[in-house]
Amino acid sequence: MQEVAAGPLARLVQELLRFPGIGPKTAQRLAYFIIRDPEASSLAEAILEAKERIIFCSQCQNLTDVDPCPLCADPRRDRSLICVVEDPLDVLAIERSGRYRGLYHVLHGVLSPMDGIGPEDLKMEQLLARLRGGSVKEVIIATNPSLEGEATAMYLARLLRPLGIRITRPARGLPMGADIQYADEVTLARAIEGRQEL
Amino acid sequence: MTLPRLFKTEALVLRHRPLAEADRLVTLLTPRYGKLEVKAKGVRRAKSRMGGHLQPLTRVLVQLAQGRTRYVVAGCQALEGFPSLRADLDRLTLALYLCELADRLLVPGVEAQMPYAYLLESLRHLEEGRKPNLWARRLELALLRYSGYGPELQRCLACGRSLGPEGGAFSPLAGGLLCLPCGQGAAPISGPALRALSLLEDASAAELARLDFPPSVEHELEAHLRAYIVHVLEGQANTLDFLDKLRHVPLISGQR
Ligand SMILES: [Zn+2]
Ligand SMILES: [Zn+2]
Repeated sequence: MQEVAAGPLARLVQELLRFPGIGPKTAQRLAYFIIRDPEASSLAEAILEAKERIIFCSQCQNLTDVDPCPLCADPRRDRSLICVVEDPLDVLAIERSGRYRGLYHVLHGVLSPMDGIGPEDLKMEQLLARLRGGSVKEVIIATNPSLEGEATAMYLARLLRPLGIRITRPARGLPMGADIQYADEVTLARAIEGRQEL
Repeated sequence: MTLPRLFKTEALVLRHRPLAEADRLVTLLTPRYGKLEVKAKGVRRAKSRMGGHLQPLTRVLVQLAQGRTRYVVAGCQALEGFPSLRADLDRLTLALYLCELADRLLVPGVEAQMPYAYLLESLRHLEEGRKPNLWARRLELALLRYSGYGPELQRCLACGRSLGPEGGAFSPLAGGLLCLPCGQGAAPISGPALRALSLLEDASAAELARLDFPPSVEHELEAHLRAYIVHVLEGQANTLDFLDKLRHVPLISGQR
């Protein structure tokens, strides 16, 4: 790989390299594209604005620019039901399936003991706080069907059981190892409808 | 060791990490080729048939093909999945700890018949739920011994005196056993715990299955080996932090 000579260009490549899925070649290609792109400053503004205005929803912890987020604020959503997911992209995937009418809670990760990611690194305390309110009847733990997702589900079940809330897990329609955000709408809708008591 | 461009091997999946797109980086332990870090493409997609097999705590038969920077999984078949282990958070965490230890103590690309056999044996006993802690201790000792960090268990490392039922002191810094006069300031180890350590190392699997140590000895073994491994790894295994948390999970979490 040839080194980029110019300082600011090299810095741009380095910054792009930090993004998931971007290797040195792609970073260089993108950097050159940005330099030539007449609209590039609008990209820079969009990044700054998003960084400034996007916050965690105080209820579901999803990313939002208004608090509470539109989903939490929607009076038509079923407030007795919370679906716990790993990632904001999972909320989008489940919303796309179009069948779920409850609220969400985004953990922003999953327990990964080997990588040193423990309960305190996830939005678990915030979930407990929501459940203490007493109006939630069921928690669907829709973490991915991966080893870490299953471990997180078991940990949450252990944590929440004393609260006497119904705890369920989406049905086995999703194969082990697959990510919810890559599942198709029909499979996802079916998995949530066919959820089982944990 | 030069690896063939394309080969098939049995392997235990030690860990995985998500990569770009729907790929994963997977750490395998193989008997012949040792520890290998390979790439599995598209395994996070729901349609991937390999994804489920390449989860940690699975014994697989994989076909590996040389890629640009590392080997890529070309085919994979699950041989053993440890389902009961995966459904029990405590045993699962202990099993993950053993995988992390193997990952951190073993050097990549060095033949690993012995640690492979020991890890598989321990996972099978954890799956059966029989004396999980005893098998964990045995694997800790085996991995330490294999990677050249095995502690001295017979004689005082300072004066050479052979030690028995009277016990002595156990010092990670010194590399194992010291007699009481030589090991002032080091943690004491009882005679029964010392004998248990030797048994864990020398007993056959069948003999070990018949052994039972009193809880006080089990605690002593765990504490000494933990301190020893912290010294070798220059820090505690990540999984142990979580294991400790599990032991203290507040079961009434409604108030704080
Ligand atoms: Zn919200
Ligand atoms: Zn001595």
